[in-house]
Amino acid sequence: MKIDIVDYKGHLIITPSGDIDMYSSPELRSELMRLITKKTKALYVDFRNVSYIDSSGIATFVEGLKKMKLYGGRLKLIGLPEGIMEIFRFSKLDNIFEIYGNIDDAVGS
Amino acid sequence: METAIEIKNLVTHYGDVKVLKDVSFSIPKGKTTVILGGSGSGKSTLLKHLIGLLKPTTGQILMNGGDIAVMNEQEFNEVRKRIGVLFQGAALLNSLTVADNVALPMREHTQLEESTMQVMIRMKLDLVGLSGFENYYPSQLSGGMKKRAGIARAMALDPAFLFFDEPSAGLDPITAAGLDELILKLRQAFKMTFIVVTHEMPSVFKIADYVVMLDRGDAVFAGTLDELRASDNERIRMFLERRSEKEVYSPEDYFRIIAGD
Amino acid sequence: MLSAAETFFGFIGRNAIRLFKGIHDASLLINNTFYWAFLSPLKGKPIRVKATIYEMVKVGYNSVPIVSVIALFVGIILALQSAYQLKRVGAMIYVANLVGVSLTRELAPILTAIIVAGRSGSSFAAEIGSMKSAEEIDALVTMGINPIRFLVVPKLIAMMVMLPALTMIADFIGILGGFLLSVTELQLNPYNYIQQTMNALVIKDIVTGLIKALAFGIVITIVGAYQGFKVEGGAEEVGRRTTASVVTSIFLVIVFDLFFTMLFYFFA
Repeated sequence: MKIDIVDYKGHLIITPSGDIDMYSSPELRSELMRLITKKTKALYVDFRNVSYIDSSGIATFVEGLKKMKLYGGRLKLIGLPEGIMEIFRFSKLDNIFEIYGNIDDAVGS
Repeated sequence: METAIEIKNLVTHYGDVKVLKDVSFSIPKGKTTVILGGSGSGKSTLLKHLIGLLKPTTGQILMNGGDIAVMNEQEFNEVRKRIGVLFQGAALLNSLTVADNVALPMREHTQLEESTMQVMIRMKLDLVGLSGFENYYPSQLSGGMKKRAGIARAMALDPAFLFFDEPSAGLDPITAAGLDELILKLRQAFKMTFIVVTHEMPSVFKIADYVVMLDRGDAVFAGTLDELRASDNERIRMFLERRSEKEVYSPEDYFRIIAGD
Repeated sequence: MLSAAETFFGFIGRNAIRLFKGIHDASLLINNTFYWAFLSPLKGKPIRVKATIYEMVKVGYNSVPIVSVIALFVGIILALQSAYQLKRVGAMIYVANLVGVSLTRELAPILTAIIVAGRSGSSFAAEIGSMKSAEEIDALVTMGINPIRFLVVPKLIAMMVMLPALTMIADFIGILGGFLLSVTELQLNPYNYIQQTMNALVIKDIVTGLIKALAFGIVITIVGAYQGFKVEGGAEEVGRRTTASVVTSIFLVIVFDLFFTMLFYFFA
């Protein structure tokens, strides 16, 4: 897995690519937590290049969302491929996370 | 149909006794395959080969792109991360809580943070209907709950293969049916390959996509449920219709047996 | 029918094969245990610290009362028995030498080892044995967790630390027992008794005792684990193996004691 952090019109977008699994989740978590400890108001995660996410990846986002809710921050997930969306649905988390089709929808909401 | 595991010409012995006699079949990917057979059919032995607890005398088990029959420990440890096993008695470690049991494979094989693991543990336990039982010890759980906790532990690392050894053994019919339903639910939610060893026909008809039947060390059948129902193989019919084996001796044989020669 | 000779040689052969298989299995276990205890931590697979501490409490801390009481009694018995002989030659003060030296060199290590073999060696066998019969060992293997690293290594480390530690406690309390009896019943001067003990004991006495204790700790752990892993059936066999572990480890502890005592006598 590779993680890029892009600045899009002043919004921070985390762009992981490849598999988010047991072995790459810790890296994703440390990136996420680094931004969260800075109390970033809104964080965007772009899933376009994610091929697979397992329960450790889901758990990482659950942790991130929990931490952000404490200070009123928002974690928005964008561009989920159908396979990934399905996994969120199975985990009953598709209504918990803010999920958007693309970055502009996410920024606008 | 994509193949997940292919077994070729498997022969194995316990001491001098040939337990599996040249067994060959393949297990389809992403489906529930039931390995069916009576006592002494060799089904438990076969399962032990598939999860790497026993090595065959000869033959191949192709899984995950390699032959696990000839792998060394180190290579096989990589395969082990991709398989989960529910043992007959659940085999939870009695000295650890349910949560620690589920965390065991994670702690051993990953660098995940403790807090991430806690979320994962709660997710896995919720999946098997055991939310809130994190801090219970196995001895405080009923038989059915132990098996559910065993499934949660087997799924800890999101395996590609999930093996069940006699899931209904020792359970009352209602609990056993609940477990079958859980297996069905998991099978629909995850793209895993399920391999269930059992002799319980009601459970077979409920959960199986594909059936392999072993009889006295031979694979006598491999096919879908409908094909199983339609089969006219005598041993399969006996199994389906729950008929006992009729042992017929000639008078001479009978005399020989009781005279003790 | 088999002839008598065939039966006889068959008996010898079968038992020899069983014995060699036993030796082979035991050496494999010893090999693996030492690998996971001392080599694999260097390769980045650390030992389980929490489990080790837990075992230390079970093996060591919980044995302190029984070891202390027995050491105290043995110290008193030793003083009485020595006094019985020394009274005749009027050399009562040498009670201090006899108590001090025989305790540190011999009795403290072996008594501690026997107590621990009965308490902890048997519980190792029972714990591993019941895990074996409940398929928990198989479960560990399929999870890619080495049962020896997971179960035996923490016990080994605990034994290697705690058996010498308990032996030191037994040394001290035993000598205290001898002292108490000597200054009361035998009416020896307390200061003289302490002085005599100090003079009689050399560091070597204590160290050889501790080396023995370390070796006994290893023996007890390996025997307990070996018997535990040998369990194939159910509860009945767990019980049988537990008993066997106590008998075997006490036997081997005494064999090793003989070996070390000879070694120290002839070479040190």
